[in-house]
Amino acid sequence: MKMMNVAAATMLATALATVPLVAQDGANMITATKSQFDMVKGYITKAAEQVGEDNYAFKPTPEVRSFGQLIGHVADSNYMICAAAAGEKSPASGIEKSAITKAALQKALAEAFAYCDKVFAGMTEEKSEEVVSFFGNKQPKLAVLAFNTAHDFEHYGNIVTYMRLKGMVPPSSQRGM
Amino acid sequence: MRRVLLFVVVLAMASGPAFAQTADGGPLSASLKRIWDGVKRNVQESAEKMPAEGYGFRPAGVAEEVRTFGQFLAHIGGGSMSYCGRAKGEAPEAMQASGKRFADLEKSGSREEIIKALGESIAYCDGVYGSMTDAKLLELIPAGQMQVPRAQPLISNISHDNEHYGNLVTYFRAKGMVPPSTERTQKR
Repeated sequence: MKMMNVAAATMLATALATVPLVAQDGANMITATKSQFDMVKGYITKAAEQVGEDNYAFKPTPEVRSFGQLIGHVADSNYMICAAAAGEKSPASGIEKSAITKAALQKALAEAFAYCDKVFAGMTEEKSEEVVSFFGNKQPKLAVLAFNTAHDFEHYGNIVTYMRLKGMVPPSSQRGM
Repeated sequence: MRRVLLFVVVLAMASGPAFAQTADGGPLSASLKRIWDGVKRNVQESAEKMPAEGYGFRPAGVAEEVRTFGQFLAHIGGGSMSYCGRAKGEAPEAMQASGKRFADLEKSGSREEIIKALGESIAYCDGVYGSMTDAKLLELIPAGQMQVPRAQPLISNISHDNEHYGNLVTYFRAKGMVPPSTERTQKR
């Protein structure tokens, strides 16, 4: 497993005496959720790098987001959803509307992902089950983070097809990813 | 896929009773099931919305080695059986048979066959997600040489389905159609 969390795994081993637990890296809900976030974060970051500036305005049909708007939307939503999980006010918004250049969008995306990384890093098993308000309902913090990852994957799916339409191979289908 | 989409998916996840207050098996297992319910609905409605002639569709300009609309659905069904089977601890023989069935469907399945098999995969996963408690999600299960929490394949399944639903959304748009998640919002 990529994610290391020996302390959490040890706590888990103490809590669940009925299963043959070993204090094993990555063996809890937080790291299971974080590993998926890391995966999609890597894919979207790579896609943002590999698509050329000239294709940031590309959109398959007029009514949908352009590639650059998708990147901006992912940045906005990561800030908003991870802030909800942290119980904080979102530190940034409006990137989709304000950032246009590839460099600005890449920077905003990296900062948004870094913000979510920080929220994950502050998560403990106890905190992960604390409930926060999320669109009018009470949700465990970790579930809000899991939802963020699901949302990222959906838009990565859009990005994949945008890249295919431009004759490119998306990061998840490239060797070494 | 417009700006309303985030709002739509958030509503899909957040609507209804607050799970943290009603979950018998614990808040995390209830939330995971709710996220699964959101994406399974999108996928199932996609399968039903696309007519038979669209099952062989891939947008102009997309290379031939890329999946068609119908192939994505068969792939999603096969993936769900695999991920949920791992979480359940399904027998290897059953996993292999299921893998072959969906691989065959991906090669040459009709719309009816794919919808039927996809529905069965969703029902199978419903049983697995529905049987989870927070404690069960934390149990360790084998994954190759490693052990992972039972939650891991269930979280991966949601990621996988969302990724491919994202592909389907753009295929719908390329065909001049509105994807089901957006259509629901427009009807509100």
